[in-house]
Amino acid sequence: MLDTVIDGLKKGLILLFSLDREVLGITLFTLKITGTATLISIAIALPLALLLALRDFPGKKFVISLANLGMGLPPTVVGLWVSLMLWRSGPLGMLRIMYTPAAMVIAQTVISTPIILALSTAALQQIDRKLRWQIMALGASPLQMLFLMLKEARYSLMAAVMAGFGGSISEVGASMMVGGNIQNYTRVLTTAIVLETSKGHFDVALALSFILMFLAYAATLWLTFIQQRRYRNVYY
Amino acid sequence: MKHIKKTWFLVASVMILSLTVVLSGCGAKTEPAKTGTSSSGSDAANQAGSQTSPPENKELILSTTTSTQDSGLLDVLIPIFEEKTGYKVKPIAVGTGQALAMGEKGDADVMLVHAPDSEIQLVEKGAAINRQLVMHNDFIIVGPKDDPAGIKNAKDSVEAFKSIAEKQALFVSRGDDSGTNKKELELWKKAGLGKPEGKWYQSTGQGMGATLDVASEKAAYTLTDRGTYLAKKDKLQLEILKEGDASLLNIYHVMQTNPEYIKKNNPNAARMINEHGAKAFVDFMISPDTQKIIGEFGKDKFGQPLFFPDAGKDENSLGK
Amino acid sequence: MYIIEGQNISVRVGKSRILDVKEIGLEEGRVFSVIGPNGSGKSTLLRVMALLQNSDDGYVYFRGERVLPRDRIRVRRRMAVVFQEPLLLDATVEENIIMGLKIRGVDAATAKLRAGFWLERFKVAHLSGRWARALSGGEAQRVSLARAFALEPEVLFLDEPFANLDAPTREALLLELSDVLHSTGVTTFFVSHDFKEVAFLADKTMALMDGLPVQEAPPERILDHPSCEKLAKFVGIENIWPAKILEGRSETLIADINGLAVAVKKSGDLEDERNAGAGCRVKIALRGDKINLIPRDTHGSLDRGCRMDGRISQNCWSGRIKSIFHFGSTVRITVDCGIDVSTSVPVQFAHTFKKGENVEVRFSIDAPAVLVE
Repeated sequence: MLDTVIDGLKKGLILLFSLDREVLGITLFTLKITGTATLISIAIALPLALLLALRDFPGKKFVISLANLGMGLPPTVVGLWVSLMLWRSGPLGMLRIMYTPAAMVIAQTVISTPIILALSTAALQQIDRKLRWQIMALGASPLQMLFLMLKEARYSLMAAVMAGFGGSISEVGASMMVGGNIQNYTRVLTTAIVLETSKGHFDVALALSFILMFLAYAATLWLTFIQQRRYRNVYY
Repeated sequence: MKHIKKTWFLVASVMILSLTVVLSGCGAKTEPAKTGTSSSGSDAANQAGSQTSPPENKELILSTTTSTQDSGLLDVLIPIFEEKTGYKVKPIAVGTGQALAMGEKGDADVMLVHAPDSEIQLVEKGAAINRQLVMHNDFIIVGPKDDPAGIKNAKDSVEAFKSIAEKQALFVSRGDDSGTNKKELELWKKAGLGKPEGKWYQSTGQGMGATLDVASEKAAYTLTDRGTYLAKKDKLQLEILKEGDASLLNIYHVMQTNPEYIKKNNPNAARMINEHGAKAFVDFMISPDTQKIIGEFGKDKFGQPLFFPDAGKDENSLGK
Repeated sequence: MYIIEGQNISVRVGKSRILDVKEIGLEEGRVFSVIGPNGSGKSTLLRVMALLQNSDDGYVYFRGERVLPRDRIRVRRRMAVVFQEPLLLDATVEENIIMGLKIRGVDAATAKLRAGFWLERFKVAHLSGRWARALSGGEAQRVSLARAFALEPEVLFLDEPFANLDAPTREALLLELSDVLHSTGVTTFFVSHDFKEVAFLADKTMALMDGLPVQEAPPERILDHPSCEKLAKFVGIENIWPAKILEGRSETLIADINGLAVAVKKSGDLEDERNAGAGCRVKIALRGDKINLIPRDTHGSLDRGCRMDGRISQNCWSGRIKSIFHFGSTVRITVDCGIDVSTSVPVQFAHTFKKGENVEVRFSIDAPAVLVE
């Protein structure tokens, strides 16, 4: 066991630092897919979150509960449903996007949107109602109000986005099912890890897993860093 | 009313704002890196002025089993096919059950699988056509070196299974409805055991590679294809204990989805089936050049081939 | 003309009406305060006047013009609000002040200059680079006040700005604020439940009870002559007795409190009081600090000092000390004169009195208030 890890670590590092074309390609492709899915999720979730947090309307609690439920949506379930929709035999088959990066983006968007929606709604709702009065009293226009609200919740919103990104980048079931893990086309880090492991290429699998962990860690580190930065000012 | 409109305008602006912010933040990094042969394959074929003109519908979905993908054979064959014909193959490696289902529903154009009984059912139904024998590899029974069930001396694989069951020696099954799994269940049946049950019989629900790892860790017997075993041999504490008899053969056929059959249930899906591409793929798989490559595959790495090309042979003559 | 005025302000929550003010107006350059217990609707009234909340009926007028929905932001930008909580944004102190100015389109250089000036004025200039959320309560509220004044509002709204501060901080800030209000002369709408603050800052006070204005007068007037029993209790009047008017026509009315006669000089500004005729059932309210307690010498006459030139100038009752309670720096003494009379005396005079001793209770005829229910 330990031998495998050390061996894998060694080969993994070599693969990493020699910038192996395939490993690099998979890594960049993973970032592209998950990045796109995250951006789309933000575009869907953020306005909805603002609406949920700032306005009252009938059925609001129901929508929030749906988002919270969606947070725990298993990726394989998403993969199954998206597959059923996108297969040629499915209702959206004519789009011909099954086993393409687009299908993966769709699946990952379905996974990360509820996460970002639920967390950013909570983040915006945590802002004191009275602070909204204060911002209004300062003379803010509705646009200025939204801008200040987003700014006020920026750290929590970033955390929400990171959670969505993390949820997407680390899921394997949906990407495998709707992407098909096609070499040089729809292979991402997680599906490549599964494949290399089943092939018995533990070194490559480990190298990929280190990249995945590094990406996840880098994102967290960045978030922690900017969250902590504001507290530094306190002590001058 | 006016107020609501305004709010929506704002919401939209924020959406665009957030998009542009994030895009400008990481756009440069996420540039796609198209490596390898996938995108250049058809172009190269065009430039080389290959035999066929570029096909109108390039996309060809090949449903196959994880074992073919895991062996690496497809990574060798598909680029050659793509270069020769200009098609763009999407190999989807899934369990045999799903691979066949995808063909039956029209979600795949061509299938490369190794579950003859199920294949024949599909052909009889009319869902699959142009079924051709491509190659075989063989299954082997592997287990711990000390061979607690003593299967080395068994007459054949069926006897070996009988004695494993009698001794209640630990056996790991894939249990994933794959071709290998089906083969294994068939052997249990032949051994007169039906579906085995008990503590000694464990199911992983995973691919062959993972199942071999589990068997190795637990010092258990398992049924595996030779290719996967050879590829992983160095990392396993498992030995070949039984091999060679006809019932252990793993026979691969290629066959096309039948658009006429699909049309009955789902005209939309039928329209998308790439019949020409599928035929081209079947022809490619049984062509002498390809058969030669199949016969050579794995020799350099393992000292012995992983597959035996069988195109044109009688299926029943194999293993005799 | 009022600088800001409300007509028929009314707010309902569900079916119940929590605020109903027919008329309210702020004169330019004056400090107008609203006082009332928690839940009386005073903060709601502030938000309606500050255009942060809609009134279900009626209108708010700014400099004589009715404020239409489309004008709200424009008018808000001529006003400023300081709430009970500092409500600073998640940014530095200076950025907080500049943000408000930026929203109103003040250019960066001017904004920085004004921020510096007002932070200095509220003695928090040294904190300008600090993160606003890391300030103490007092510091944060100073920043919040500086933010409001930096906006150079035409009307300043203060919603219990000292309620969350500890006593010494509150007192210091109260003095500073009073100073700034006088020097700027800004029209101020000040909401508080603390009568001391109101008495110190306000020119005029509206008392609000259950969403309804019950009195509008200078603060000291409300303190001594509240218009109703509820308000009397709220402003801390210790003695409220049921009484019957014996003689109500003349300038000084005479009432009977459980057999004790009391003379009250009419204050004249309360309609109810003017209309109270003989036989009317009323309540008499008397602040304890208006009472003189005199140890009664054994041979003194009861009437001594209570009549001058044949006219009553003081009420003089005799009684026996029933209880003495020490409350830190003051001592609360209750005297049984047939009715209980409570007063507070400074602790250094407390030794003069002993439980069970006879004393004389004296208070001016100006002191009591007549409450007509």
